[in-house]
Amino acid sequence: MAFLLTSSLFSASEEVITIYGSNLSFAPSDWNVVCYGAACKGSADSVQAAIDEMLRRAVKDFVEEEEIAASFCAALKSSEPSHCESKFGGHNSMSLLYKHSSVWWDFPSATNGCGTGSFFESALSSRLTGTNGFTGDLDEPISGFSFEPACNNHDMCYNGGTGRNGCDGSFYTELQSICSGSHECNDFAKLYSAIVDVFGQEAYNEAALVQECRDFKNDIAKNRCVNMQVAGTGNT
Amino acid sequence: MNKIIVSIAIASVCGGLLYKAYDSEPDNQVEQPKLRSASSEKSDYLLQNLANDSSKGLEVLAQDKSSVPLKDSETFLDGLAERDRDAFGQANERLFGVLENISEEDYQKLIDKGFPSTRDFDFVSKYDIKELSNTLSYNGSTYPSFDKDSSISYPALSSLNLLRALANLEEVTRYYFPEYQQGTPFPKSNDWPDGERPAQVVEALMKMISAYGFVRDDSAIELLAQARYQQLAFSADDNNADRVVEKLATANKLLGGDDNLLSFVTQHYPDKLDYFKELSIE
Repeated sequence: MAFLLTSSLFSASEEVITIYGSNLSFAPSDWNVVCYGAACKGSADSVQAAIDEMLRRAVKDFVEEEEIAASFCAALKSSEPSHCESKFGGHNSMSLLYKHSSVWWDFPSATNGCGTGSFFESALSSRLTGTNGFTGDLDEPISGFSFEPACNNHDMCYNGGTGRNGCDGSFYTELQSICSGSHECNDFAKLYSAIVDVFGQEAYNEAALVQECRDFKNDIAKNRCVNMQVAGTGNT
Repeated sequence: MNKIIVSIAIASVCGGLLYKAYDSEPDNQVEQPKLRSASSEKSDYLLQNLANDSSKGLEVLAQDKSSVPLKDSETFLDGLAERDRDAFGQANERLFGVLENISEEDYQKLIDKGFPSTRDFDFVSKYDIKELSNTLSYNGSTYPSFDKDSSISYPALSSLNLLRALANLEEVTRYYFPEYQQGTPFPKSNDWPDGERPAQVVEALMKMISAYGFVRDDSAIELLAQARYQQLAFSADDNNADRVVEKLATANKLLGGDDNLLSFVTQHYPDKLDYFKELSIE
């Protein structure tokens, strides 16, 4: 059973899923997990399926809550995206503390205005140099018009992973709104729009990778799997 | 006699929209066209001088004020020298056929709406893509004229600049994808050798961005040029038909309804035809 609770800052949805450990009315047991990412939801499903299978084989038996939790954490940890530790980790010595390594994953800021330090930024700077009215500041390329909020919203949209075309279209619409009819400003809006249009795929892909790891880290933390040792869905 | 023949051509190889052939001394170029001050004068240079002598270049013809005007039944393209006809044919192809079977009177109307005269073609030829983009960035305040004393059309310059940047991009792209054609989505990143766009392609893309930035939304030719850009569908998973058709429909509206555009949409975006018609009358 799953139901939508609220919208997360970084994710399209946060879902609370209940895993049932018994089908006996006199011995109810269940465990709630909170999921941001698909891997977490998949883990919950697989644990529930394992319990169901076990209950089918031993009708009078039931599974303790702690065991459900341990099983879920084991399943979740086994679904860790392979790129997260290498991209955001680098704190292996801390593993001596028996905490899950995701605790120390260090993510880039979810938003960074109109500069990224990437090829995207260099392309933007390169293109704007020589353009009439360029202030030299990518967040406010023309005096009096700050593009920073639109850039941040565009970053958030990419993080959400709902599709580039919509994000890029909304970005241009927001820039136009900021420009309020100023043609000089609109020239810059068009340039920014074209830059994200042409070179945005890499940033979008990267955002998806980051978001996948953010979701996983959130799932580990929210479900108290940080300190839990790996356990299987063994018999009670 | 020293003379210069200026021919309008869409240069498919280098993306230029106009080339010049000089017979000897560059100093003796035909004088820079005088800048027009009223839109009603915009047709003089090209349209009133489409004489029957197809061996002459447009600039030479333009000086012959006694040329016989086109008859109503004659199309604009019929009156051009062969190479000029080819050039306008290619421009027509890039502009979705709006110059198809056009008469003198109709072309005059298009020029009044910002479409290029030979002066505009000539002006574009003097700059490379990025130079012209930067030049346009300094001349936006007198839009739709290029400057306060000029009848050079800003919309024509910006649109031609974008179209030649797109032509240049297509040419570079065909080096890697020989079958690549105008009007089709640009290859996605993973499709390129080693999974990334070659430097040559990135350079062509940067030029295109430079040109795109100064194409506004206020005239039909600018919207048509933008529709060509939208066909590349950089951020779309499909062919970006909605945005292409939106640009075409707005251009259609500004043109007061264009049968050639309607025909293009009917042929290439049949499932968007109702959307096109709806937007055209909004």
